[in-house]
Amino acid sequence: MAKPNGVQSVCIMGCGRVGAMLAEHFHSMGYAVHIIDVNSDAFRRLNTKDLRDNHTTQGDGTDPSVLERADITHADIFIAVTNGDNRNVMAAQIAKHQFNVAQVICRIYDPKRHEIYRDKLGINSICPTLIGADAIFSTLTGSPIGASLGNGKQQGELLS
Amino acid sequence: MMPAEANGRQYFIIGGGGQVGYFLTKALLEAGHEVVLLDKDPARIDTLNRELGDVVERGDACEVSTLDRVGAERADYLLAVTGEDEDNLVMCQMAKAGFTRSNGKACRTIARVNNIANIPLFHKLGIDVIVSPTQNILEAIGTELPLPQIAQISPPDNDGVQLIEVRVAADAPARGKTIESQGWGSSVRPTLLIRGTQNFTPEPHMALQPGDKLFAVVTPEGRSVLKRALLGKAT
Repeated sequence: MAKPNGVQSVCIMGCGRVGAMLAEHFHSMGYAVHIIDVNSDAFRRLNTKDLRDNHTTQGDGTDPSVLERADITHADIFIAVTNGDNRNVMAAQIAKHQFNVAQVICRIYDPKRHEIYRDKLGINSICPTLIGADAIFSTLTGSPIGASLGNGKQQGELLS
Repeated sequence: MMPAEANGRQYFIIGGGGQVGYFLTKALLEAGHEVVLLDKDPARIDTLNRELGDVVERGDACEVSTLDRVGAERADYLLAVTGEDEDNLVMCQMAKAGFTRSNGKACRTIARVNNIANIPLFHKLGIDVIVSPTQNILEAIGTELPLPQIAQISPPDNDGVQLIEVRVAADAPARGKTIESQGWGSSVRPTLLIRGTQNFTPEPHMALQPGDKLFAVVTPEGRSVLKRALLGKAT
């Protein structure tokens, strides 16, 4: 999509802690932000009045018409961060395949689902379960969780 | 209806134990097939197992571990019939991408889709058969009732292209103008014009009259273009 004014546009689905934080950050960087949530109460998480008043869309982001209301046709970035893995990955695929958004990313809590979408179905996803477990494990042991899972034995020792 | 294996017996995994899942399981069991029905709600599972015998498993059909436990690698069909489009989509994609059967082919996936706007996406993502109750009912309305001004004759294909029928409204912007002067371009391909009891192949020089029924193959954009041109202000 042509950007007459050169402003980058980001569409975020899910106004939870992560979605709201991303919205605030992109907004402060000068991006055009649109944030979607099924529950309009969720928009209270937005601190910036301008975001709350002018850049929210209430509706289900797995419905293409709701995404259109959130101006997805002009979005350069689409981020799906509701609490539902399936909703996120479905909306991400709508954004990618139907609206041809350049950069699409979604959150998938289930590591196995994340792996299949990332490795076999070409969906850019992040898995907070893996990242969180790894952060906790490596904080305690000094080595990443992948190292111990990979060769079947503990490499670090628990710090007491 | 189904590709016959040695004895014609097929293995079906059904995701979603609502009314649709229940009656499907019952019918497929009666036809002699092997069926496992997956649902997440323990109370519902108890009810279903009492009715159907022990064919209901507790589990989320979107999880690879659940599909693995019920033997997805030998399933012939996955039927995704929950009430949620996103769950139906994901279980089909997991069954296809997560498992390879011994014959090398992925299992056939059949999904229920409630939001008709998502039908093109399901096609594009390789779901084998898409069943949309909403779409079916809309089509039934379109053929049953004389009044609606727009009816879908065929469901949208992968690119959203479909055959529709539009009745020219009394105050339609396009009325009295020839087809060639409408400026529809390639997004609208008129295929049949019915006027009263007569039917015509639409020619560029023919003028549209209120009450005409125009059948056209349209892209999603073409559909909007045609609606604007042929429907009245009231719609």
